[in-house]
Amino acid sequence: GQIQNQSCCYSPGSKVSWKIENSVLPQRTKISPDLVDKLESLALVDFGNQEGVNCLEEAIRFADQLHVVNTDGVEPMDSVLENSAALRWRDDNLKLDDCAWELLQLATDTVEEYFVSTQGQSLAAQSELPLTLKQVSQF
Amino acid sequence: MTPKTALPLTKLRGAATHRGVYTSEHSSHLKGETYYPPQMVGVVGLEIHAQIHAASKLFSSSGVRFSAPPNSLVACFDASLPGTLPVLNRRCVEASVMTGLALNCTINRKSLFDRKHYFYADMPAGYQITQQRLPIAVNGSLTYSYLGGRKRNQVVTKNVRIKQIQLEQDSGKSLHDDHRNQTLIDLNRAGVGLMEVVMEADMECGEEAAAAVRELQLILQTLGTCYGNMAEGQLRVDANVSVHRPGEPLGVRTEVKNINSARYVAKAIDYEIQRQMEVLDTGGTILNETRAFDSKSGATVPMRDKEGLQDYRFMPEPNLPPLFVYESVASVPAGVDPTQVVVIDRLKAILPELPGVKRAQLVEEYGLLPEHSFTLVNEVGLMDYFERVIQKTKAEPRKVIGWVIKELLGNLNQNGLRLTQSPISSEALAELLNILESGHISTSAAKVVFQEMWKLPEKSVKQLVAELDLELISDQEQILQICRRVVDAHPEEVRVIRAGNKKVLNKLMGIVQKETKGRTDPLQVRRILEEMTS
Repeated sequence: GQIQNQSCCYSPGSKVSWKIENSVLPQRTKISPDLVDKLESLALVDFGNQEGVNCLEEAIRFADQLHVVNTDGVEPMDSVLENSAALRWRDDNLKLDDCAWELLQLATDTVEEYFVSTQGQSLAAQSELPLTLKQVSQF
Repeated sequence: MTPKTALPLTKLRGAATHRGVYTSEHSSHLKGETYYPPQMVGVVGLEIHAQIHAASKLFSSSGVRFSAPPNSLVACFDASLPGTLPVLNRRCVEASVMTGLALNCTINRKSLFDRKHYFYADMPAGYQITQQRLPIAVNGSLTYSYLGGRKRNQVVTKNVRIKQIQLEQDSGKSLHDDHRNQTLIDLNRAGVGLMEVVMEADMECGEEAAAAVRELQLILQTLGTCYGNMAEGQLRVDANVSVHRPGEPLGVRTEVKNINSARYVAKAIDYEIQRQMEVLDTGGTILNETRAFDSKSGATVPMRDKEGLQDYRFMPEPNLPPLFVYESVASVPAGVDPTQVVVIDRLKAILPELPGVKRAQLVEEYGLLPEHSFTLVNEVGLMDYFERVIQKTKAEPRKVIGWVIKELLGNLNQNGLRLTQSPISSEALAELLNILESGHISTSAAKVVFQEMWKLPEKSVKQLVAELDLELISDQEQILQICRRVVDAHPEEVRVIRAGNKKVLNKLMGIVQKETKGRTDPLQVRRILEEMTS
């Protein structure tokens, strides 16, 4: 791809930007209303307005730039610890703690030491306080 | 065709649980009773969740117990409080490796953890930590058997491929309160370690699936990695069921859930196979849906709303680096903390004797028939009982097994009792068999004593034999006299015997036995009567 660097090192205070030509990127993804509904129910996020959809499409466009990189024969890395025995485990010992008691005090609704949830298999229909668009744009 | 909640099906006969009943070679046998489309067969795969037997949970140190006060075994991580992190339980890794080895799997030296996202009230994090990309064990096999054939006494052995075994978290429990339209959540079970064992669709009917589950249960119990108590939810079975004609592409499959006892495994699957065949036969189509088994009606009913395919948005678990296990002590890199190492060879060396090996040993050591050793290993505690009797009696194993299976187990089943509730101990049975061996009583008398022992367990065997007056008559003269009397009283029968019909001798024998209340040795009586009627 054609990447034009304005500066090859970053120092605080200076702006670094690059630009990739549109012609080398895949076609721009359009989010259909059906897909908006599906994503809203899967993620319990309310973004079903034009601003929200635009924001999502821009985010996808930004990620599209990765397609310019040649990854033939390269396995994706999902952890820098992929080859080291970094996973530490613990022995099968019981530790008693009063976390549940504290949690039950915090819950708004309890019935005899049970937490209470509104009924229904899917919480999507009764999502309380979904993320606002502003919060989404911060991610 | 619009799906109804439960199709009224023609009643399945007991034969319906036999393998192959749905093929045309058997449909003629059942003509007039139920109609089976020619040559369609069931295709069954299983996903089995086995709760790992451990003191603490998979990623937290809270306890694992079935009945505990609600929300008393919940660590902050289990409740998904922000700032908590998963810490893997070493015991769970060992348990899954041992299970993988027992099921002939390849153990992945490196395996990965992922998040599976969906929202449900009993899963506070909004995702479950599982192993979707690279599980701990893959490509195994399970050999299982069941008693088939017309008399259910032939051991039929089958194989099912194990696709994989993965470690994952259990969810909490939700209790639905329909009156107040709310759901009560208990997080005691949230985060308990599970091994999900995926069996390929190599099975054809409920009986095969039930036998495979039973064998897996026995193996897990032998290993101690899972106690397999289905009633307590330690072993949960979901079935993937479809039907097709052999050679044709596989049909649309449905998932059957809520099978919570070993009995229901076969029932639920057979119902679903039958239901699908009837739908297709009447020109309908099978929906790719999830159905729940309703034990009251014996039917499967649609479970979830049709919201379209669920998208779990799998992603690597960022808080857990890859899980490494090592082949041998030699392959462990230098400088690694020994407490942080699981070595496959070490676990292989301490694997206990698996059920299949035990069965073969019983056949070899005691000369038992395969179907008998199958029953001994299959019934909880029966093998130990049998071996205890063998130790205390001079009777041959082949004789002992008859008593243990026919008389003891038969009576236990008839009365709905478990072996632990048996009124007859192994010592008592051994004593009875010794008295029989020494020739003091006949076999038929021994059976009578057995029944009395069942009713009066507090009385000793010797006491009962004496009280019932069942000792064999040893006085030869007395026996001869009785036989003479019977022969003289039945001249017609004697004439028929002398004319060539030897079967009538049995009638005379029966009369002698009745007169002597079974206190004569049948072989001896036969000899005497044969002489007298020659």
